[in-house]
Amino acid sequence: MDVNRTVPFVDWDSAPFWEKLKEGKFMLMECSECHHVFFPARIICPECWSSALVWREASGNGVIYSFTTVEAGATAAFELLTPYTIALITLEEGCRVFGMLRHGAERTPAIGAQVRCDFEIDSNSGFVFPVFGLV
Amino acid sequence: MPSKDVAIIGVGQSNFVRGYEGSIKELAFEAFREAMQNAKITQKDVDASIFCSAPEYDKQRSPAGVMAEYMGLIPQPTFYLESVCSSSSMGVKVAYSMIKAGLHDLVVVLGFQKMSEITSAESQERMGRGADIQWESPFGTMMPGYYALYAQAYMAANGLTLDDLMNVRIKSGTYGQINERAVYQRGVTEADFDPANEKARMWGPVASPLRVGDCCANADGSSCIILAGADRAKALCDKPVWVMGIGAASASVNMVGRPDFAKGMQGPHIASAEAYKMAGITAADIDVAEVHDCFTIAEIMAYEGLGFAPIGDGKQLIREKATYKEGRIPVNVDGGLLSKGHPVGATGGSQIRTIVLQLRGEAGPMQVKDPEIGLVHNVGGVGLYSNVTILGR
Repeated sequence: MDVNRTVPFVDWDSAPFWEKLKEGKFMLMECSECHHVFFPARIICPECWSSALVWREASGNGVIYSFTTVEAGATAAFELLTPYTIALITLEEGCRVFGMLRHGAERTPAIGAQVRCDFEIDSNSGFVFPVFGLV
Repeated sequence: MPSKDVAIIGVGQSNFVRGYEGSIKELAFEAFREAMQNAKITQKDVDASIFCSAPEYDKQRSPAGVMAEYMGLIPQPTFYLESVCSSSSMGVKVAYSMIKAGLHDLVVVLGFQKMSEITSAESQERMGRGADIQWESPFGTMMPGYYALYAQAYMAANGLTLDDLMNVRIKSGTYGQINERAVYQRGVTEADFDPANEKARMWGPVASPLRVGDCCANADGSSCIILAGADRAKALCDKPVWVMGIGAASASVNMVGRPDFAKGMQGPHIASAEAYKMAGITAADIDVAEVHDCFTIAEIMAYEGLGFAPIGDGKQLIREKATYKEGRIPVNVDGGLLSKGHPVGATGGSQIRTIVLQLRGEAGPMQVKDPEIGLVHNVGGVGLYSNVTILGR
């Protein structure tokens, strides 16, 4: 879609996440010392403060924690995409993540519904974004 | 009883309006003049000032110095404080701390916001950067959307209905129409939420399940609260309103780090527990309250966060009309943010002003019968900064 969508501010700590999305991989982080799995990415484990962190690919399966369909009042960058649905997804690894949710008019999302992560390129920016779909 | 150390001795507020045509300095002066006249003092009586706003709306950078000069409050020290929508509540907390510490004995807290200072597109873009710019904004989050995520999960878990939310808005309209400072002075009825009604459009979808009528009104406005130490307060004022308790809490900015949405926001539970403890009272002792109803769902969650209702049961208060003026615990009987309007940096001070007027018996047609203790719940961001202030006479 030809929209000047808001793009992420990519920093050293988040760059690998956005890069891996281009390979169709949704990455979480895991601490090699305390084995805490978390999202979003950081460079120091929030639980034990270890720096021994590794990226770990998520299965992409999860359930809807909450969602909302935006029909009015979107920021200028998202106005042309309206209506769109954003959702909080609980991945099967236990982390909650933000994402867009695609669903046809015939299927309304519901809390607890199973979803799977897909990947969608924004042709303007070249960023790949995770997009969840009902399964 | 808690010690009577710091009191509010003067309050002021501008009209809350759309498209104020003067500068932010003139806008702030309106509330300042009223509060100073209310306290019957002049600039030389003031030891320090604190200015509060959400800077994303201001063209002026570092506004405290500019504003202090305009108010005639130089060369006394001045400070700038922001916590988005709760900036002026936090300003009162800082003023309280300064007075208790013996640094300054009489402090002016001036909250202001000219929402129309910049274009709507500019403000949306800047407000968007108040969310997590790395992990949230790229997914199209927006202010009503955040509260909608709470509403969706909360309503599914607790049986709260769209009609309950509508009834919060109707209550707000009941009082907005008798508050001459409110931006929205029209009453609200069920008919306004009827999709056949093209005029009111309160039913218009914004971010499901929230509708136009579930969202508060933007406004330009200012508020001013003047605080003083006990001896000064007693000397200057025959109806001092004492700061009995203050509590505050912060929360994860990113929604992925928040605890159970079905239980509402955690911050107000923590902030109110702290404030009740400091005041030596419980929720049952509150006679009148102002809560941060930026969205209808926020008022229901606030009932629970403040202990007016058990978790999940906030709906009962609106169903039983317990939060109307004549009810068990009157809430937002000045129209709240929904009708009075929400000029971000001025909102907390406006809520505190309402409670001060209530405790002095000066609230006019909005007056609750003989209240002794009042509470203000003021939240910045999406529950990011929670502030609870308890006042007594």
